[in-house]
Amino acid sequence: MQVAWSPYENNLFAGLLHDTLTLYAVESSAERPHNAQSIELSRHTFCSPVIVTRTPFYVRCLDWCPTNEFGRLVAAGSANGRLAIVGFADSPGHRDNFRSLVNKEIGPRYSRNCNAVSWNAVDSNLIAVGLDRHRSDSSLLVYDVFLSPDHYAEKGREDGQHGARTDGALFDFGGNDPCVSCSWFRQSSKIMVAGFHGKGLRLFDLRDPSKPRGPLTKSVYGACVDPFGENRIASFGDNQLSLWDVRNFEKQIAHYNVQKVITQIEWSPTRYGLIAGTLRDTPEFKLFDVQHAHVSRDDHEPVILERCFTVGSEEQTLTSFSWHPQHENRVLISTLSNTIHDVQVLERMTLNWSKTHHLLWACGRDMHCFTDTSAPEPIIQAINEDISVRMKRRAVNGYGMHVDTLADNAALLEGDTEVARIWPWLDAIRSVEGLDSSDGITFRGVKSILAGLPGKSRTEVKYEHWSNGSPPGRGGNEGVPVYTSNERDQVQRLCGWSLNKDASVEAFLSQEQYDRVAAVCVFHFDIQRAVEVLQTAAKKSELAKSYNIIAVTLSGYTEEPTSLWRNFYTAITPEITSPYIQAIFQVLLANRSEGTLKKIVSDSSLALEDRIGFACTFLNDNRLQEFVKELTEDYTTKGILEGLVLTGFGIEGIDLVQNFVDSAGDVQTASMISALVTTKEWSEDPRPHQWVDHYREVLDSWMFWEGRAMFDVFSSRLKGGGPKVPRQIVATCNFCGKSINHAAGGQSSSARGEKMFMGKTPNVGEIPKVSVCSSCGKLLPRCALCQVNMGTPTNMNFVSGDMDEELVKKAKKINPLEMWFTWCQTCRHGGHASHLAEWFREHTECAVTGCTCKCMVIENGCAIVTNNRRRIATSN
Amino acid sequence: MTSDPRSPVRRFVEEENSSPCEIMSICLPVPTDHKDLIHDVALDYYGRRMATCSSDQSVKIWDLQDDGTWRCTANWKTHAGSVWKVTWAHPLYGQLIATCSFDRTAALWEETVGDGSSVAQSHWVKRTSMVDSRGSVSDVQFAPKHLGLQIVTTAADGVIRIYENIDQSNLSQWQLVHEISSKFAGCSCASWSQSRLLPQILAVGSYDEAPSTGKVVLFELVDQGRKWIKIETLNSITEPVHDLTFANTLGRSFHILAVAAKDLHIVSITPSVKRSSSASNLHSNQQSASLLTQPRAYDIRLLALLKDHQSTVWRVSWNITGTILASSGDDGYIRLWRSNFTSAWRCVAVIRGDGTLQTEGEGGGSSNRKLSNSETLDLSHNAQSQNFLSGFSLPKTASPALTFQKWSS
Repeated sequence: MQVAWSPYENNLFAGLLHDTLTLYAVESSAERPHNAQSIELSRHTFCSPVIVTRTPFYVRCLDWCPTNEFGRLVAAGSANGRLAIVGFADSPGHRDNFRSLVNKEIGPRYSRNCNAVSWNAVDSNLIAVGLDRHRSDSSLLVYDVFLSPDHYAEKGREDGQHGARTDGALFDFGGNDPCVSCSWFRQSSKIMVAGFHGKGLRLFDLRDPSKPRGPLTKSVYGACVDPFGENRIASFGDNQLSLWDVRNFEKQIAHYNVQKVITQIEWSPTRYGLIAGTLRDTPEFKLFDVQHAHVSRDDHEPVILERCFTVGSEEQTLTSFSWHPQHENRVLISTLSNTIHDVQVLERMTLNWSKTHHLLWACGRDMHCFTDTSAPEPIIQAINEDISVRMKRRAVNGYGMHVDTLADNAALLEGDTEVARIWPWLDAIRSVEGLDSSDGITFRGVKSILAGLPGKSRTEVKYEHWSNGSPPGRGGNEGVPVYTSNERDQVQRLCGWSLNKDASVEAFLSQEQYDRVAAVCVFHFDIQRAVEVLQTAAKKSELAKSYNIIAVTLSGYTEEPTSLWRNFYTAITPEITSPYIQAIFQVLLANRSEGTLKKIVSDSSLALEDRIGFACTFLNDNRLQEFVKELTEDYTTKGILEGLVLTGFGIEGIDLVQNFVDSAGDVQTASMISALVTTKEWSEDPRPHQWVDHYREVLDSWMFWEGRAMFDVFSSRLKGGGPKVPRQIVATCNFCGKSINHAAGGQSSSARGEKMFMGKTPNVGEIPKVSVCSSCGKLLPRCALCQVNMGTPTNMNFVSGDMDEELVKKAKKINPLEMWFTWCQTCRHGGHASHLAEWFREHTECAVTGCTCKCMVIENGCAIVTNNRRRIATSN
Repeated sequence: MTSDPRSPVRRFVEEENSSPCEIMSICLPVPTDHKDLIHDVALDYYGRRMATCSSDQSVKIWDLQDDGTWRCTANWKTHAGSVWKVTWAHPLYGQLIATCSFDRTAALWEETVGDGSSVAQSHWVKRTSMVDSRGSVSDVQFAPKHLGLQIVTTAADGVIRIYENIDQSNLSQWQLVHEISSKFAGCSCASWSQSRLLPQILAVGSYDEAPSTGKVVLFELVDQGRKWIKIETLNSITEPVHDLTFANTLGRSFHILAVAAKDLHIVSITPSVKRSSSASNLHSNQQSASLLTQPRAYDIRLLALLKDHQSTVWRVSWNITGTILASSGDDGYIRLWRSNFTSAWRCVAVIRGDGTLQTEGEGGGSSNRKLSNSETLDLSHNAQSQNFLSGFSLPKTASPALTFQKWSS
């Protein structure tokens, strides 16, 4: 099947199947039209046949009449060389031309295959026909469709041998080499290119038909002229695509080899330098993008970039295609199984993320943009889940800046529980170490606290019983060994497992963690309380039944559990899902062997503090140390922040946070933690500094400078003020050249980046008289507008017209920013900022008489980077 | 001069409180008015300015307006051929862009002020033109800011060139400081690693057609910035590479590199622990010279090999944190990728090139369609839409065997 878009009607195309030529109309709709004959071309387009015509013969090639003056006409070339004009009737009877042309047949004297037909776009009466060879006839003929063969036959007879032919052809070219392709130039309508098998490409000019020129080549098929530049011709032969420049036709300017034999090529009529092609026996549709630089002296060789598509879901060999004449990149493709596809070829897309979570991409000539608020739901969701957007939201909410109660930061984490757990720990560390919010954290970690245990520390062992109100059992049972020591006590206080457990019980109760409370009570040998808690839980919780059962079971516990109790426990075991309840029964029931203890401490569904607390109570020194070591390693490799409690803030802690950053990408939390830590390791290792650097960079690129500045203050708060930023600008006296820094001592340390001479003065009364240079006593520069010297107290008279009462009052108290002295970087004239601003609202030139500097234009935006500014920039 | 009512800080806050009606719009098309295919779109450091370049040989500069639309503020012809890439310098260096073109040159442009008569259109002046290449210049990239003002170009002649601005006050003075032969027939792209702490790496990709040779080469800057040494060839990437880009390191101890070849590759590059832990010498600049000229050992792992595009992957881009990767392919789709906590990368969204989201009906329902089912040129998207719709089906590409495969160098 062959297809060809109508050159002048957007929604019509001709489809050729054997000897049936059908005109199809394409309509766009979401639903299949209620028309039995409609064929689906794509998801949104359908076509239905409008007119079906039979051609008088089997058609080998066809070409639309390029103009609609004559009506819808198609020239069809046959296997015997005859050319027929097939028409699809317009509105009836409006065109004489149509009627005169339709069903007209033209043919050469000797019948042979017709290989190519091309209708001239300008002189639309001319058709070129390429034919197979014949020993006594030319293979490329040009006909005038309006003239009847008889006319020419007669004319020929009259004139004798003056070029005219008996078959009616105006011109004949090419000798007896088979012509396999031909194409008219679009603008230069007298010129035509044709390919002759075994000979090469030839360029014919009707005005001088005797001198064809062209190269000897095998790339003779599918010769076609670039619609965007008539000097370029493309052709193919076997599996080579060739490009030619007719001004230098001898040698191809570029060629490109593909894997299989090419069957058809066509220039895109809508996009510059794009050729489409199909290959034999493949479902692949090829696009060749021709890149060509037009440098005047140096014509670079064009480069062909290949792209490849597969059409449709089934592997169907493509038989023909046709570019839509107007719609960009729209192609109609027919396959061997006679299906037709209406395809929108998408261009190669380029894309980029902005730092502010916008995704931009360009497809062809169009740009598209998704922002973090305007994207479709799944994308918003994906972006919102991402650490980048979460970090931004947290930064806006002041994450990490809650210094007094660090746990408040956890609330800003929006359910990121694993990270959130570190913040209460930091609070706990502070309270155990007796630090307040102005102290840096130097905690060495549970691991190092317990490190000395087996050797020097005195660990006491007591034997405790689960009393449950009843007297201790018979003498055979010694009870459970419970270990205590100063170090263990310290760790337990950190874990909230202090001997006075009531406080933590209350805290857990308020969080409705009943099973946890019960477990803590049991582990503190207070079954009575545990039962009470569970009963309370049963009243409040939805799981009343199971809590009651557990409470009953617990209260039935005795030191020497009866087999009945054991059986009952075994019966309810499957129903227990809470790890805490499971832990309770494991401890009570089982033999308290090391295996059981180990199982409990290594149960990661228990909170870390409970595991550590439990371990500190029930494990002996060696086991405890081993356990803490394993746990530390586990948390460090996994990069779970909570593990900082174990590692402390040394090198191991840095490793842990590094692993956390590696896996979570949350450089923000890492920076916030390192801002609180003041250990030697953390200030010497480059990694914490790197986190801070990167986080600051991120804040900067969000234009969140204020937040960044606050973070700078925050992070250097505990570290002696951070790196001293040297004075950036010094103003010197015009006369003596010395710095006009009048009150030298006090201000240099406090002012960061402020203009030194304008040191912030909280109290008007304390402003010294500084309107003169401190060394030479000459007056300082004047404001170009109000003519008051710089440094003169500004609490009077400098009240501009549009200030309201409030502002006037304020202006009298302190120097607002707009009363600061400033100057143009170029002409060095200046004055009070607000005065200058007012001036430049209406003027572009400097306010100083005789100065033509266009200060405001130069300083407008970030256009000019003066040398000065760039030097500042690079020093950072 | 000081109180700009559109101060960026305020805008930042406004953005947070953007009206809900904005959420309804699906995609914001930006009419570019380019006369030919757009090859690259670049955003500045703050995401407020955009540059586009096109086959029509021109570059356009766009400024983001307060209402969220983009306004073209400059448009000029930059080259004598298709402009392949455009890129912004860090704002520390001013408003600078670099372009590269098929015409064998790369150029540096600086925004200048006019005479005040036309505020709407800014002027961009060519500061320098880099004409050393003997082939189409395929990529141009500014170095990370801590290396100063440097530009790398890759070209079809297979040479990687690094230029440095010697005199900070004169943007016209550039010196070709390094010229590295890649041994490829042509280089397509380059990317600088983004960390100040980790050793500086430059990754270069090639579109060389030669079969079964690695198409990505890594270079390390050694000897205190005096020399680039080739450290590794990624031999598992043998298809022509069209784009590659390092993610922002953001405090990580390794680099992540995305490579767009026939498939999408995500690679981690970890400098050996031994040398990097001695990185305290970052502060004390004294280190024996012999050590400095040696490249480090690297552990290079393939994190993911993603084939969902089922066609050539064309461009890749990381978001600010290096946690979402966007890729575009010849299938006409954009895919967004994220890694979950087990560091398996999966596709989280599929966007058609025209801005519509891929939905269930598309690509999936081929059964009830007899004649044809192609609208865009793509293969059946069954597998992809599953990935996308069911949310969490593990991508077939993230098989454990691949995930920690060590690269043989």
